[in-house]
Amino acid sequence: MSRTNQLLKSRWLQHILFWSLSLYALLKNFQVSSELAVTDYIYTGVFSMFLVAAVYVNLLALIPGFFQQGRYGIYMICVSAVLVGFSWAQILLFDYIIEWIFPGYYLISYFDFWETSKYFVILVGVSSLLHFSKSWFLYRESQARLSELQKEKLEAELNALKNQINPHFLFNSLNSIYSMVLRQSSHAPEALIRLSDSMRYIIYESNHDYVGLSKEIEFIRNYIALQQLRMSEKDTLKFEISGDMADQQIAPLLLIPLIENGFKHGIKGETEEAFIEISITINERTLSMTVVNNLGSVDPVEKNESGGAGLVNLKKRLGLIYPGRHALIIDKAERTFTVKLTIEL
Amino acid sequence: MKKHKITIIAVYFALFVLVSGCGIFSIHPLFHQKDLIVQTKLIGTWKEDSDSPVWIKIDTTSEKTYLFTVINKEDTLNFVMGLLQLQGQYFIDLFPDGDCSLFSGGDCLALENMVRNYIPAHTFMKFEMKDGEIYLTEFDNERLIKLFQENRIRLAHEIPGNKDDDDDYVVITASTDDLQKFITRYANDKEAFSETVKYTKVKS
Repeated sequence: MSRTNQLLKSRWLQHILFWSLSLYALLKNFQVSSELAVTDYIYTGVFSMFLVAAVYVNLLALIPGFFQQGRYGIYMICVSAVLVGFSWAQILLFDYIIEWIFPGYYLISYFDFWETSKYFVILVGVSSLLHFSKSWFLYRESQARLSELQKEKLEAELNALKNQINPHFLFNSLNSIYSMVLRQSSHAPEALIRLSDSMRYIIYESNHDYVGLSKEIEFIRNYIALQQLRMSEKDTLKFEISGDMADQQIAPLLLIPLIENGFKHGIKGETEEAFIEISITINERTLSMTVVNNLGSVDPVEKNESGGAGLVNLKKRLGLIYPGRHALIIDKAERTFTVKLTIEL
Repeated sequence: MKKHKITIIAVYFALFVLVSGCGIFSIHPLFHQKDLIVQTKLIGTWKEDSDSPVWIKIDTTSEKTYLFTVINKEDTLNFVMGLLQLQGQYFIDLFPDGDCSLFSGGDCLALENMVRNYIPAHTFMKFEMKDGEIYLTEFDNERLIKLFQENRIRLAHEIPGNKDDDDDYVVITASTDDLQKFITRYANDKEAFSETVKYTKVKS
């Protein structure tokens, strides 16, 4: 916040500014002849004393004491009493007391009760409106700040979830490549290139809130190709995509945890008939993905009904990004594990 | 015709200024119509007790005002007089009468040309009547002008010309209501008035 803004938000400065403008307006209003005279200054000063008192009684006592407590009836009665009381006090001051304070001066108030009370109504009314509008702006500001904080918190949470996904994917891929290297597979260099492409997508695209669906699908293709490199001939992979993905947007890295999970717990499960079936369907604004894989025999994560860390993170992200616009169904049978995700894009 | 009348009024005003040397004049009267008091005892011719050649003749008009004529040897000045009471004290408001026929001692046309830029104004005096005599007390104009010049009076006014001029005069521009409030307050000040002149009725 700049120094000027800080200065403008200073409570003292606001009050000084308000009274400077008010006193100037009163002075010009009370000027009786073509030139301002000392009597005009004295009269304005004395007249303003009760105005100041009435305004601050209202601002400091009546508004917080009654209005803000919702006791509007009592507030109106008290404000009316203050306006009437101070107006009469003003008249008495100028009729009987002022000549004792300023002997030799003839500072006569030519206002009757109603005219005097108008000044009180205007000043108390304007100051109250300013007070309420200031409170409203402060409320709006705090709401905006709260909203900003919530947004930042959400982003931080999403980033944290993404950061959990990235290492997850990276370590799995590296594990796959490590296995290939151990087996001295000739596909290892190609696997590294695939991994490089995938990492490029993760690094440069996944920072956005949304990416093109085609890019996300392309990333999945790369990922599957990468995983295919470590599959044995007896493993079965089925990957189908249908529908028009043009102009569709999706949160980045949203689908990969399910596929990753299928590969990790299916293909890697060291069973005789390992398989994974991935099906993605885009129907207008709805995306459906189904991943079916066999259950591995040695995977400790299988014991968890909701799947591994990848699935837990995915659930959190879906809740944050697509609240009320998604469905995630996990079905664990004796030998198969099925996950079906539907998203309204 | 209206222009002619206004010019004649101006003549009286000019004469009054010339006679007084300095003075307090008001654009607005001290009275509203509802404030005016009619006392038939005032009707008649009045004379100062001293050897002064000044006579006063008070006569009725069609309204609740009086015709107040100051007679000084062969010259006469005609005013419309209003009598009113403020906080227990009586005051008269004098305003030049614009009827040329009531003016004597000069050539109306010549005066018109001489003083056509003047405007008529009201002057005020304190008034008392007791034991068949009337007492007229002028405000101490010098003191009042000084107070205005020193900005000690909060009343709408203008001081034309040079403020340091000894022959200055003050034109009060305040409304009738404001005037009444001021006179009420100011009349309580013992130093507000100059010498009182007593008049005795010589002819009813």
